[in-house]
Amino acid sequence: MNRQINNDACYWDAQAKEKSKNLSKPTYEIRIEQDRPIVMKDDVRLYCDVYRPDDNNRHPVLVGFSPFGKTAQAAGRKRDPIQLGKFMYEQGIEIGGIDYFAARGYIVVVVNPRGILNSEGRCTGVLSRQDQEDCYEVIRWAGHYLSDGGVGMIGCGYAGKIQPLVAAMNPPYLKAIMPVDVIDDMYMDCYPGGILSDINYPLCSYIPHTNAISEAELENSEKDLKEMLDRAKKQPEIATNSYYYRGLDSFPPRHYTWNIDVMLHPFQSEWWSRRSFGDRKVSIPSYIVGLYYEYGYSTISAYDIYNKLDKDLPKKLMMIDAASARTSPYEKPVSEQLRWYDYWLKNIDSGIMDEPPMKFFVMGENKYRYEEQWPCADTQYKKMYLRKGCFLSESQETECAAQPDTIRHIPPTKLSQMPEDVPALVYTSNVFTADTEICGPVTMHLFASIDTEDAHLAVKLWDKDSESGYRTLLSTGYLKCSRRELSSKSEAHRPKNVHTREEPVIPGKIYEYVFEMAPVDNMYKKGHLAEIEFKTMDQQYFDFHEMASLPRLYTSGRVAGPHPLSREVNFSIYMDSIHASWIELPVVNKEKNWVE
Amino acid sequence: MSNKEKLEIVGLDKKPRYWDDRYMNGIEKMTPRKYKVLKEEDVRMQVRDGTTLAVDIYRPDTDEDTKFPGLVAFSAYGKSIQTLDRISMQFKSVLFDHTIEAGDIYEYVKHGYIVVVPDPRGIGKSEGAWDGLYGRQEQEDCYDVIEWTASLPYCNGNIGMIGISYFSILQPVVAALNPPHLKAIMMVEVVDNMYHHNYPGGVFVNRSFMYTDFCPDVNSISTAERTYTTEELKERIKKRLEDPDINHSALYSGILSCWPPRNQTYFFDILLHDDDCDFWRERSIQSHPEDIKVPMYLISEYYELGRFSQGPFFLFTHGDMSVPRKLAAPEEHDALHLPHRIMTPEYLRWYDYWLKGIDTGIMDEPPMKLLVRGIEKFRYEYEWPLARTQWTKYYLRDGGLLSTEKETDEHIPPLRLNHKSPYRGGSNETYEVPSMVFQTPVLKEDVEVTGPIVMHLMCAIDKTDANFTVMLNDVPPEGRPQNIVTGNLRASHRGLEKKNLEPWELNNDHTRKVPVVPGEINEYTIEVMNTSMVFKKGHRIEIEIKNYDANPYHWMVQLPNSQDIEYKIYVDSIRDSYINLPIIPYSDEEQWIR
Repeated sequence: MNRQINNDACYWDAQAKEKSKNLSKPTYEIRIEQDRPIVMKDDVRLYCDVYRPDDNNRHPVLVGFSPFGKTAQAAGRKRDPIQLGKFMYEQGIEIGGIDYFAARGYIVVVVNPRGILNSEGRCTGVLSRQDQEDCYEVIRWAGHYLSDGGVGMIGCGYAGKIQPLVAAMNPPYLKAIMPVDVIDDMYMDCYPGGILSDINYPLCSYIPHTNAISEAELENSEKDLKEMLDRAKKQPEIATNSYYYRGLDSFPPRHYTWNIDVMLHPFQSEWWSRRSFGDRKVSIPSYIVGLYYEYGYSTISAYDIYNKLDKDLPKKLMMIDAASARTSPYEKPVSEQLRWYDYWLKNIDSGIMDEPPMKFFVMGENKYRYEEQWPCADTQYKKMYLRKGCFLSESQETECAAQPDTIRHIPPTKLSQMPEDVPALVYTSNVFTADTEICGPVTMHLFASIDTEDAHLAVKLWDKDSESGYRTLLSTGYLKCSRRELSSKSEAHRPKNVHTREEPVIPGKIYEYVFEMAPVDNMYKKGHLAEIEFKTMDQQYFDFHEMASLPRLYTSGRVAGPHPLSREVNFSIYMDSIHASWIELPVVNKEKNWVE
Repeated sequence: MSNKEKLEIVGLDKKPRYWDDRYMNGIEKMTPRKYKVLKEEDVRMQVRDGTTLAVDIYRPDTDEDTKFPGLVAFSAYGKSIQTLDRISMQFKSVLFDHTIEAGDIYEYVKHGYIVVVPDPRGIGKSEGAWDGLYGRQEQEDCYDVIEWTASLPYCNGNIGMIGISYFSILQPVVAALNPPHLKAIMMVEVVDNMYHHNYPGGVFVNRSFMYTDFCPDVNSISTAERTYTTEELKERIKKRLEDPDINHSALYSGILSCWPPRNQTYFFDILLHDDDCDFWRERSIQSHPEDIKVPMYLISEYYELGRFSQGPFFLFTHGDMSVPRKLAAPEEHDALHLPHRIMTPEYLRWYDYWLKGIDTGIMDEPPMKLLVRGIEKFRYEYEWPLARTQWTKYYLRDGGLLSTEKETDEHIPPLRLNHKSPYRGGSNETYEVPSMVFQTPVLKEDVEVTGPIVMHLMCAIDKTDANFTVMLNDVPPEGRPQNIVTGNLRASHRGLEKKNLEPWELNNDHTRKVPVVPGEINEYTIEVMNTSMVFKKGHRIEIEIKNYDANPYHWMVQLPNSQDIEYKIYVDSIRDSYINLPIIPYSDEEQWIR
């Protein structure tokens, strides 16, 4: 609990280190006030823990609003950080640095949201409109009763994602935010490429709610709700997936209510906009922190939300770590948070606004560099073509009769398949002859035909060390073939598929499928190579294998990722001179401004 | 009639491995596969307090004027997913689901049975509030479903029960209530003691967290909330949260910190009751096996951890011994496929005998058949432990040796094992949990171990409590050791009186925790549980001792102690530590299944 957090952070340059002398010092004893009530607008009481300097003065306040509640954060205070996927890592520990800030003259307020732990009311799912309004009230309460006039927010995961949503409501006292993890489009997180994914399914069992109800049940008549449930049950991937089916075949549907809502909203819609940043406006200083997740929509959201914030607004972006380096509690951003809030809430000259606005952790190089914009100026978008012989090349096939490669999908409910046995097609590039940074959005264009009306495809981009054979997953992209239509919101190098409707595929017809993949920032070192992998189901996009704090059984059968198609498909992937399939990698070759 | 012709009547291409050529008489009388299946969904039935349950009925679709026996499959996994359009899938495969356990429903119906699968109270589409696994409420509701099934116009009034795991664990505790129409039971994966299923030897194992995914409860209240006053409940929660092993976990402390405690209520009950008590006894047949009065067929799988290897053997040897009983141990858990089909022919042969009055010959066989692991052959036995067992002490010796010869030197210093808190000093590689390993020399001939296994440890710890994990492993000449069976003990649950013990007996008291005096040497008896295994010539037998095991090939984990602990394990001539292995010196040629 008295653990030292390094005040000499790896993402600080010499000037930042020098100026860190100005930062708040740990001069306060800490007092904990447990279970203070906060009354919401509708008279529901939430309870919070207040960690504060042991005095009776007002101080700047930092609010942590996590659906996992305050107990998980209290457990986090007892533990050293444990890496994602390692033994006893826990997703629920979202608020790091509680004691660090309290000792430095901040009042940290950690809340149990509605229907969670001992708070009253009903939980209606993560990032709900209700949670956003409640969080607004918490900020107002903390500002009014505790603060010296300024409130900020801390936390990662959902405690990060809610920050821009609440900031857009302009709560009084809120002076700045610094979310670690944000979400611009929650639909794309739960339906990558339009395929139902269980990335957020564990929330159902990790969030300690005592009273939960789906928004679908609140907002629809019993008759309509039953029709929605029946429709979802007939969806072929759900009809053969017992983990999902049993909740839909219950009534009232109160088992795993979050997942009920996810299943009942299979298309992009207003329900998803409620919990997405989308076109909201934030008018307070914002420091967005992102990590490189190979999956989900939170990495691209960090860049996109930063870019959407007003040019004149004080704003910063840091891409801080590879996802695998994330820990519970996550303490790496804490030093920078102090620097940010000392500046905006305590008026301390921490030097934070003197730096370039962005710094990026470059994977592979494992160093940070400053940047002015994203995508970077002078990005060269380089096409790498799929070639016969499992080869990835800068040049296109000249032969127009080159035969397509084929891959066959057999549903796991028709043939037992261990995750490691799932079929894959792999294409490998030549080794890089010089260190090459790939920084920016990644896009895949694939010419393919299928022998059915719809199918699922996964694309994975790897960095492979040609000597050791060790592979690092950089990015994934998914597409449900019936969602291939490109939206008018697509921009150069940033394709977007339409997810409000589906258009069945004509079996046998060759289409150009465009995949929006997770963005990367990776230094392909000399001697490494790029590898593209296609799979018809991607069971292992997130290595749950080591997550031993759960029973293995819990993750052994459940899909960790987008759901496998429930029927057989034969794919033909084309790479001839007319149907050239390619992946586009954003090469950034300019002089680097390293943080040093 | 040839055996091949008999199998054709049953509808089998080939003989199951557990059927013996010498005991095939009667198979030809079994009902052949001849009926079409009619499914009635969401039929409503009332249990005794007026609560309505939703039930699916699968029955023969026939105009015949025949009445059929009923098979009840009851579990909080519910009815909705039991006959989804899926093949029988292997454990650990993509989309494998442990809840599709009611069994081979369509196959039973085709052979002339009615199968009834309810959504229990508070689950799926049924009314009421669930109160967790196997409680008195669930037992009584199941009793009522059995009697209701017997009263269906097309039912002959004879009821049996099917389904593995959850469906099986419920069978003996329901049978103990003696529903009048229940005529026989047959279980795969049955548990004798629910406390030790969740707290083996007093050590918490995270096995039950998965039920939150598995049981679609739409309304539930814990047994604790129904049993204790508010004041007592709050007091118990407070005390439980003081356990540092619990309060280092965000998940477990979160569930215990809810008020009212309505998050994962069944799991709240399990977390709250960390010592053996009435809560567990109500759910455990171990406390009242003599109440069972119907014939039982007990089937075990070889599990490396948990009670599935214990339950069948306990019920085989306890209770009213005039009740007919059989036991089979046919497979390892990793081989499990669901829906479970490999035992279907045996189920039909059993229930045709007890529910249809057909002499299928099933009671002519010797009562036990065991798969002997390592050589993968089936063998008949008659008793447990086997009468011909040579109980052999394998001593832990200095230098990592496991030997049948005892140390002669009384001055050998104790061996030290240092457990490191997983919450301190950074991320943990699950492969690198500190452990102490003892191996026999390379075996010069095959060694068969069949029976219950107990470890005796002379040990001092530097704290007032500590967990033990003892693993019996088979070490091949090349490749990774294979864990055969694992035992646990919480040091504060040791027995305080010195007792004379049979080789399979333990000296522990799990009803309360008595702190250990740091530094004091105690004898700990650790239940390593039943197995049947041939350690092959060229292999070694290995004992591994550690605080917890989290190897990735294991799917359950003991909750580690949150503080650092030093264990001193004594291996000298006076304070000797050993595992007592049931060595089987020979088997009669007649015993092997042909």
